[in-house]
Amino acid sequence: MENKPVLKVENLTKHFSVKGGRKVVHALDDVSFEIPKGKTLGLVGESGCGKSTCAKTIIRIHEPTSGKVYINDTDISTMRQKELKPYRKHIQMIFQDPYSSLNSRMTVHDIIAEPLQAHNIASGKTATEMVHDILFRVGLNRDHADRYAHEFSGGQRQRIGIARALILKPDIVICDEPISALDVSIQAQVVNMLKDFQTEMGLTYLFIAHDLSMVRYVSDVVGVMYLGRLIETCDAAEIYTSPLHPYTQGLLSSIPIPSPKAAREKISVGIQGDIPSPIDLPPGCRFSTRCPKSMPICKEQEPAMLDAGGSHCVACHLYNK
Amino acid sequence: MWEKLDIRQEEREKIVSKRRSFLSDVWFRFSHKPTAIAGLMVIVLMILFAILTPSFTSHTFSSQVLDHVSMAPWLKSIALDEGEGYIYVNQNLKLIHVNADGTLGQTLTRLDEDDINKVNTYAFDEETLQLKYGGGSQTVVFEDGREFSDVVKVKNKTYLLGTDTLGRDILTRLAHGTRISLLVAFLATAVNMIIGILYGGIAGYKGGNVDGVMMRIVDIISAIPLTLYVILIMVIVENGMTSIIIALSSVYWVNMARVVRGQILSLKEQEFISAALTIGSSPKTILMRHLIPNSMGPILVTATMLIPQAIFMEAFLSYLGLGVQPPMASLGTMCNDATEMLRSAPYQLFLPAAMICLIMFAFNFVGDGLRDALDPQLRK
Repeated sequence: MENKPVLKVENLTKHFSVKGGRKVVHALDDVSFEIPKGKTLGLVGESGCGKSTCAKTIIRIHEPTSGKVYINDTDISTMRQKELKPYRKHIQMIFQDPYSSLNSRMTVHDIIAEPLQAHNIASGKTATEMVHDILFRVGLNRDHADRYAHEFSGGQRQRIGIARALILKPDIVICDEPISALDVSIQAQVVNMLKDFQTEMGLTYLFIAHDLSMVRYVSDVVGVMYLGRLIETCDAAEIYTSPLHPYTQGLLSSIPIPSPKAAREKISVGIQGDIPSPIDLPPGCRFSTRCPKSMPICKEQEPAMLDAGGSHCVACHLYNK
Repeated sequence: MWEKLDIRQEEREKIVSKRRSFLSDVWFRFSHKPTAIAGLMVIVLMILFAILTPSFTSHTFSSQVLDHVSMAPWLKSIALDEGEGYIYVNQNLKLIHVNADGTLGQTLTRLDEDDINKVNTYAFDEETLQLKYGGGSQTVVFEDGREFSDVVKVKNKTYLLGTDTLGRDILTRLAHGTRISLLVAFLATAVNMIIGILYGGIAGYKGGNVDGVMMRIVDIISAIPLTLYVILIMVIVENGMTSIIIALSSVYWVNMARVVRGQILSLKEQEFISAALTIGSSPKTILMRHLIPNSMGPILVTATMLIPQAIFMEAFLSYLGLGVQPPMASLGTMCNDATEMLRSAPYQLFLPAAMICLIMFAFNFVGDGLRDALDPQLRK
């Protein structure tokens, strides 16, 4: 039972059409992964690589172009919004910007109680009680309930967002860079709170971040994305010790090192150039334009995602033997 | 040097600032803008004036006194002896006795006219008096030989703002006209707001082709000046207050729809709408609880700007004779009636015109103040 995936994504693709042309933005291409119950998948990549699109397509804020999303073995990718509603209870999302993710015309109580009303779970006094309960658990108290969102600090707002996502007791929570808008001291507080909730409620997380050190801390499995594709997945510990894909290696070398001495000794495998346009993709491997280890085959054929041993999967011709 | 304070979790999360809702915030900023407050006060006074005045005056908006036609607020009349009052000579050489306190007394009956010598004879109480009006000056001569020719300005106490060409009290009519103008403006704006919010809200929320078609319809409507539609509608339907409200409401919502749509399009991309979607809230909830309350600022500003526009439009139509029907008064019909007498009685035009200006100014100032108060960028 423990290994049964709660969230399974198969060949998920999302293309956005460009206005006034026949071209499309390849925001997300052929992404597959699964997350077992109670585990965390960390999704990393530079900005514009499709992490947030991935999250929003899974939760159907965007309609997927193709591919399937299973929640507890039910495919939700082609459901109509009405049929989807009961499944929304199982999958919730925490947003990146705590300022724009809360309606400034509503009190905290109304914000957190909205999911309860939407699913007819509770209203009136029962709802208020549940709101107070969850507020207490995210470290706020009942006095905060009738205040407006703009009166809170960023960290407090993010916790209100967490309370809103968790009040329905979901199975899966998608965290779309929940900490990148917060300052460092608050980041740890929020991340620890998320971890506590995970052990307590058995939550499954899809954790999106661009901060690699934070991802290592929260994730069980890490997925690296580049230009809309998943290029490497492996255990969180392993990705730091033995990254396989040249892009992952480059990404890791970009983490600043606290000690100047160690930094001087480090051999930099920095990535040169800019990320290509997701409209006109380079032929073959998408990373071939910037890859220091590029081979002729890379420009011709797109590498497939293959197991390089020990559940470490990578999409690169270097390991495709 | 630095010591960690022992502080309880609750203390740390406490919000010290006073609880302030969105509305009290807006009011705070609004009340700190003198022009806005002045505008608001003028509007309140105007509404009170429109509602209360008719019950204080002894005249009604339609009652006529044909002897008291076109009497100015200040009467140029011939002063009699101390305490005897004044004699007012109107354009038709009709004599009206003005009491010493400024109220109007009896109208003198004309007994004899002598156009050649320019002397008329009138009955005044038990005696008769003569009015000599030759040589550019007017002189009142009594039987006992007393002569008066000093012209003084006397405040008209019976008609504080004078009378119009048909002998109706201008103050009462002004209050009545303001009432009708405001009523038309408020009702038309309310209807515009409802249609505009719903139309623009649906177009913005649905987006895509629905939005495209709906907004093209708006474009087509607004391709021709809106005034023209209103005039055409007024020509077809019967004149009257209801018609003018219908005409104004059926056209001016296009601006509101545009504003609402723009707001909703930009709000739709905000994360709290995505959040509401992932929660499973229905489109109705998203529209009514999230999108529209958040676009209320520009909606209110547009509405307050629409009110003076509607007032002006109503006055304009009434001026053209397409508005409310006589004897009903609106500011526009009053202006229209007054234009004939512009040279001899300019106050008749000046008063309603000034009223229109005042209303327009007041609403524009309030709209300006509201825009500043509601703009989140300016929040301190």
